[in-house]
Amino acid sequence: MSGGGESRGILSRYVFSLDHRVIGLQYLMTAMGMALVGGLLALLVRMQIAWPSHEFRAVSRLLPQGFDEGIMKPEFYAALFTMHGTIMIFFVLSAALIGGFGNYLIPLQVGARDMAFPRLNALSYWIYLVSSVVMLASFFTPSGPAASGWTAYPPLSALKGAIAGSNLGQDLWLVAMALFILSFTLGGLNFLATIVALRRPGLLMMDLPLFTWAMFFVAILGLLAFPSLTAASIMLLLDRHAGTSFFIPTGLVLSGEAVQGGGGSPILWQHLFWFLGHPEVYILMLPSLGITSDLFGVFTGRRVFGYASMVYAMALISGMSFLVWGHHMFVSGMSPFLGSAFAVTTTLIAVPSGVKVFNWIASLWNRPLRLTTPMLWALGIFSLFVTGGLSGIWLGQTQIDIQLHDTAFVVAHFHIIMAGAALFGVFAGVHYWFPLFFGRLMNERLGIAHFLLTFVFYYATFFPMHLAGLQGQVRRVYDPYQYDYLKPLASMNAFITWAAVALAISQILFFVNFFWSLKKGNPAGPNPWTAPTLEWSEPAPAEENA
Amino acid sequence: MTVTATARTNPLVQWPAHRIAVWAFLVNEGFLFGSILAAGLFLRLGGTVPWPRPGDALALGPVVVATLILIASSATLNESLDALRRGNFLFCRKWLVWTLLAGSLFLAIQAYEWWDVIATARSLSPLAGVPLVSNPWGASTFMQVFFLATGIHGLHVALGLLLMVWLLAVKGPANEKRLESIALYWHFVDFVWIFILSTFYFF
Repeated sequence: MSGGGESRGILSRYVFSLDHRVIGLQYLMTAMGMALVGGLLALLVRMQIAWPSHEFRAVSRLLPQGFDEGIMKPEFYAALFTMHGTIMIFFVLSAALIGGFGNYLIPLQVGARDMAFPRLNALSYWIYLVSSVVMLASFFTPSGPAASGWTAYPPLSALKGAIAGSNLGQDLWLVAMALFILSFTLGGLNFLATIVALRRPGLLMMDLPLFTWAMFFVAILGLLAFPSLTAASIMLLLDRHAGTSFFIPTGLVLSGEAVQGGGGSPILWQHLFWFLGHPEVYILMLPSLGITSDLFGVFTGRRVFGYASMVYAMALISGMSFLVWGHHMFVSGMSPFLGSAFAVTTTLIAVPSGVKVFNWIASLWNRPLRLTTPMLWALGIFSLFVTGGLSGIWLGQTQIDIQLHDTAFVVAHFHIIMAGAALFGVFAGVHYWFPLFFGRLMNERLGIAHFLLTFVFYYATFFPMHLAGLQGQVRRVYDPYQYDYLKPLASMNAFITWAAVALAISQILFFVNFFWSLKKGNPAGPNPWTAPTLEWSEPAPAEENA
Repeated sequence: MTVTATARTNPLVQWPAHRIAVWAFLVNEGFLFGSILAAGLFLRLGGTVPWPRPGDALALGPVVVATLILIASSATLNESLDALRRGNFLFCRKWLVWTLLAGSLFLAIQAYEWWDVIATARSLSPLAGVPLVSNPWGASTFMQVFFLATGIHGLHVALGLLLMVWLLAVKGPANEKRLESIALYWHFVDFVWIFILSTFYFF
């Protein structure tokens, strides 16, 4: 792989490379950069919730259009949570777990020399990079970025005059999402072809590490789920620019004037969006589940309990993820019978999820645990998966969801199960595979400190949100205290915001550890964790250089 | 152990990478068209918009001819691939040119269909303008979904034609992987047309 490396220039080796390992790291680094943006947006959102009339001096100088004499404008607040969600879900977590780890590890774990289509692979990354730039560029348009939520519900997103963010920002959002989908579709084809066709002879599918299995299902989910958002985005762009009304209902009035057209249905967008949206949640979850299972195997010294049932559970979770999208729409206006059906399918997903949980318990039962940093992160994922899974069973029931819909309870639920488990998966993966990427180990003491702080502050941030939600705090509200009944929650909201600030500060440890270990970490040797999987039988990069 | 392991492998799993990727891509495309047609169905069944009866807004004559031509073009492309596998490059080329002609003819009929619909709508209600926004059949939603589905399908046909021209003029068709992939794509474009046809012309 590295045979002709010396003769080529730095550009072709590290920038325009076709090597899956370089492309994987490019994804990972870009995602880390986007994570900084997404995290800062979250902090701004939290500060606004806790202290609604807070004055943002520094940020208002950078993005003057969003502030009025240092006070955040309501429409800018909407833009912040929109961009936070979009960036974190697609451009950080999907990109790091799938683009980053997937590209780097799939060929190594199946014993192939590279991906099936290396040029297509590089193209996927470059399209992803362009889409990230387009998404970020919307911050610098005169009307600001999209502000209709990461779900981009019409008519808010369909009518240019509805809100500042529904102007150019919404167009850039749609174009960036279309590019992102293209990038992930090309990547998914590559993953499937590589896993199925390029396995080392004699290596059975049922011998693959569960991380590669997760990538297999993720690729299938992406290929089947993303087209509905592609279709919806095309229709929304046509509604915005060609005068159609796929999503614009009859009789809509905007600032006193009747909107042209009509006959469409905003609910249609919700169906199309959530047909993607729910599988997308599992696209984020499955890599973490696979990593956890594999790490439990490595750090207990015995393959994870019930390997085959883990594969079948992932297959079931993937398949069923296409039958539950309606549980995001219990209050949107659906036939109650349909709502009941979606509640049943949603609850049924607890079965394969439970299989995973009990297999994990059996894997850990009575085993000597090596509590290295990656193992701690895997245990953290386990914890989040159970906590978030339990609140998920609540939310899946129509009766309860009607009460809790669009409250902070939902925000707590999905940040714990989907965002948290996926984020912890990124950390688990980076700590675990760092020696493979760079030939050095990350610092354990810093790593453990970072884990403990993140674990504590993650729960401190998101667990109280359940309580706030139960007491009726609605999400996406610019100033909660305009409602009298929410005034008693002010101190709880301040606590959550301080916890979020502490969570953000704790991440500095990670970046310090990452860059310090790049230069000064202990040399790792070929297989520092004594892992049984194929990627560790490749010579580590440090050895190649020696 | 290795020997028994390979012997147990599923034949589907022995497909070459390009075939897996093309099939996966086509399933992905199927979900794209499925989403568009399902959206049309949703607006028709779930909404309150009037929907024209079959034959009211669209004439059946040209589209039947176009459909036959498109199905025939699948057969000619198969002949071309077959010829390539037999090593007969001349026939391979010849059948590829026939497919190219058939595909172009389909696009031409489709273009005529669009022009005809727009012209009829304009003559029936001169003030209404483009049938995309409002039209004499009282169902702009129908027209929107029609133009979207047939338009995206037309783009797919055009892409197939471009690929064939690229194969003929630039690469030379004597590459089984490429021709097989294009043929699979072309059959898919035919297959999905049957669903579009049924949705807009028969129900």
